Amino acid sequence: MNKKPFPSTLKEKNRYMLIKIHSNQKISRNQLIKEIWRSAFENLGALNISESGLWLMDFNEEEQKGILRTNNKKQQEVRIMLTLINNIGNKRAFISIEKVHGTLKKSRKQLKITEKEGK
Amino acid sequence: MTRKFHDLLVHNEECVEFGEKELGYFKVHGKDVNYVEKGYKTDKNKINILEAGDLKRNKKIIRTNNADVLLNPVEPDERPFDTSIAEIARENDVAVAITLKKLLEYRGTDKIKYFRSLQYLGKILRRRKCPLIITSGAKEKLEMRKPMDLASIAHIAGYSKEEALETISNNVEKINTIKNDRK
Repeated sequence: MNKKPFPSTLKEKNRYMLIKIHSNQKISRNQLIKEIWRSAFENLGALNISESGLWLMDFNEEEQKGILRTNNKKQQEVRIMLTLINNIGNKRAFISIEKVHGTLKKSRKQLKITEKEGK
Repeated sequence: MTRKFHDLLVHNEECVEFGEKELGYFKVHGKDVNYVEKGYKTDKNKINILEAGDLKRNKKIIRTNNADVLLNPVEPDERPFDTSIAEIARENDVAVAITLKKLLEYRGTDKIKYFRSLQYLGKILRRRKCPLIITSGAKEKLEMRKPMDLASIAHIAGYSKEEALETISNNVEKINTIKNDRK
């Protein structure tokens, strides 16, 4: 039996945040992911994280820039959570949000990542 | 009209340069601000930022002649701010400021209590129409944040997006003009 398609009105609207890490030392992708999850659990809690659809899509270790996906309704909470990060992997650092896009394609264009590289 | 973003309190000249060149602030106030931690040695020609203490001391601080900003009247366990202080602050044109640096000091339950106190402060300030200012209070450049990220702290206190942006732009400019008028 064919499943009914998911109604477009119920579909979540994502936002793609172009983030930049400011630090004296280089931060790896794994360190960044660990710190984002730690801060998210501490400041937002499991319920809010599940609603925000938080996910690190891409991260360029050379430029220290990346794309973070979130829900449009939880954008402010995620911004607060990122602001409250001041250490990444025991290194002094902070994350700034450079720009917010509505599509991943636009965000990747800004980050100069092709779709193939992203996948 | 484009907004001009200000960071009211940083303790380092390196931060002033970093904020204005890299983070996109219109002005980061360094030397034109007088930070008074203890005692009451205020400067007529500068914006006087007085560090808060307990309830009694805060009442005394906002009555001093040259006080412009009351800094960090929020603690996790006690509430050194109430409606009467907010009323006096409004009459004397004194703003209330919160630093990100202090917020970052707390962990676990203390942080939760601090957020709760901040929400209480936000309710009083909005009701009494007393201006709130968010500042980094940075001693080194990695303690600073971009203007929009800094403004998001006001969301914890229950401010809307528009009100939050005013905490780093219009409210700081108002303090500046009031100071100039007093001269």
